[in-house]
Amino acid sequence: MKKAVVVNDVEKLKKIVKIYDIIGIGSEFCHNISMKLFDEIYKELEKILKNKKIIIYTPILTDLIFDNFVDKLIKILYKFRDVEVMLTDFGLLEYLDHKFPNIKKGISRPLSIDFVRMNLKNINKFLNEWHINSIETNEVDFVEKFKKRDFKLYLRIPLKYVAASRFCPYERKITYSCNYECLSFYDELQIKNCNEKLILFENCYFKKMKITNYKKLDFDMIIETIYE
Amino acid sequence: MKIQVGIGNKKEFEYFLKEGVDEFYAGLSFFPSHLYGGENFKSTEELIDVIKIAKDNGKKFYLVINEVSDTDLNEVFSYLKDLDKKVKLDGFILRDVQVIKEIHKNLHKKYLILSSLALCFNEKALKFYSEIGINRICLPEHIMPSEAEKLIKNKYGVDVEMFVTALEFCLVFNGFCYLKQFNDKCICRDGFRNRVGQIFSLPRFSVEEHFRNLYDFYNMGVNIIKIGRGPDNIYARFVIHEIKYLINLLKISDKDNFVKKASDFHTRYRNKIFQKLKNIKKK
Repeated sequence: MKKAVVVNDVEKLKKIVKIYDIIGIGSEFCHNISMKLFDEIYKELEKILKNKKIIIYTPILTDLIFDNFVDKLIKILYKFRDVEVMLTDFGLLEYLDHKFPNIKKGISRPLSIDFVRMNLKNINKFLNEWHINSIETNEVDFVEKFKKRDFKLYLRIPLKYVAASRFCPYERKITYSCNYECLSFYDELQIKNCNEKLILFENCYFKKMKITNYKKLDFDMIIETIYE
Repeated sequence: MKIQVGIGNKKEFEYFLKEGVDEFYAGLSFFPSHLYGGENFKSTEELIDVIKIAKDNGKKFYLVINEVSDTDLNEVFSYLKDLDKKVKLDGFILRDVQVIKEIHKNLHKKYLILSSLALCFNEKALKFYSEIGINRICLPEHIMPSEAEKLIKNKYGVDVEMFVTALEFCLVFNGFCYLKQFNDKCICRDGFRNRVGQIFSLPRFSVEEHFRNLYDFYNMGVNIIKIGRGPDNIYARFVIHEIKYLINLLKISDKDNFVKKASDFHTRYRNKIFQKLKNIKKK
C-alpha cells in the first residue's frame, strides 16, 4: 500500500519532503489555500517536488475564480510528470475531462460522500465515463463493498470529515483574500454536553479517527494530513 | 414570483393550498433525505391523496429523493414507478448523480430540480447537471449574488429557485453535514469552547446580508421562492406570511429600503412566532 502526505505549510513541507514519494498540496475546502500553494510551487517548491508524484486538492469553485484557478492549475499540470487532481467540483471535472482527458483525476471529500454510497456498478460506470482514477474517503465502513472495484481507493487520515463551510472561520466571511491564518494552525472545539471535540482545520470541521490498523484495510493508498 | 413550499402532511398542504402557493414538494419518511427537522409523509395513501388534490387545482407537485443508498436503489425505483402509475408525478428534487441519472433514464420527461444540498457553484457544474437531466437548480445556501450571476442568467435553459436564507440557513453544507452524530442534535449554532477557553461560533451571514442577497438574487432573475419543510404545521403557517410580505416588498422597494424593512419585520416577527409557539406548546 502506498503512503502519501498532505502538507500546506511550505516550511513543514520542506522538512518532510524527502521521506515521502507522494506529496499532496492544496485544499478540498478553501480556494485561497489552493491558489497560494499554486503560486508557491513556482517560487520555492518546483525543485523539491520535481521527482515526486503530486496530488493536487481542489475546492468548490465559483465563477468569480474559475478561470484564474484553472489557469494556475494548468501551469502545474504541464510542469510535473506525475500529477493527480482531486476534485470536489463537477464543473472542474467537466472542464478537465474535456481539455485534459489524460490527466489523472480523483473524487475527494465531501463529494466522495455521495460516491461511496452509490451502487458499485454505477460508480464504475460513472468513473469510466469521466476517466476518474480514484475515490478518496475516510469512511472505512464502505471498503468492503469495493472489493471488485475498477478504480483506486484512497484512505485519508487522521481527520475524519464532519462538516464544511464556505465561511472562513478566521475572516468570518466568504472571502477571496485572507491572511492564511489557518495554514499553521488548527483548533479543538469542545462540543457542549459531549466528551468529544471537533477539530477545526482550514474551513472544515473534523474529528480524530479512532482506527489505527489502516494497513490491514483494502485501500490502494493512505494519505495523511499533517495538521499539527 | 412563484412560491414553492415543502409539506409533511395533508393538513399542512390544505393550509398552503388556501394560501395560494404555486408548487408543492414533499419527502417520504421511509426514504432518507439528508434533512434534519423537516417533516415527511409517513404513508403513500396520504401522499397520493394530496398529489391528486394538487393536480385538480392546477398545482405542481415534486417528490424529494435526496439520498438513496445502493441497498435501497431498486426498492426506491420500483416504488417511484408504481407511484407514478397511480398519480402522474410532475418531477423530483434530487441531489446525487446516481439518482438523477437513473430517474432521468427510467422515469421519462419528469421535471428534475437540483437540490440546494448539491454542490453546484459555477456555470460548468450547471452544464454538467443540465446534461444529466436537471431542469432547475435551487441556489446553494452558501453562495453570494456576485458569485451566482452566471448560474442565474445561464445559457442552458435551467430555471433557478432560491430559499429565503434569513429563514432557513445551515452554517455548514447541510447535505454533507455529520454534526448530528455527537449528541443527535443540530449543533452548528451552538457555541464551542476552543483550546484557549474562548467561545467559538461558526461564521454566518447577518440578517441584513441575507436580505441583501435575496434582493440581488430576485433582481438578477430568480423568480421562485422556496419554503423548506418545517418541523410542524404551526411554524409553516407563520412563515408563509413573512414570505408574502417579502415578495410585496421586493416589488416596490429599492435595495436599502428592502433590507431595512425586511430585517426589521423578520426580527420582530420571529420573536412573535417563538412566543406564540411557546404558548401553544404550553396549552
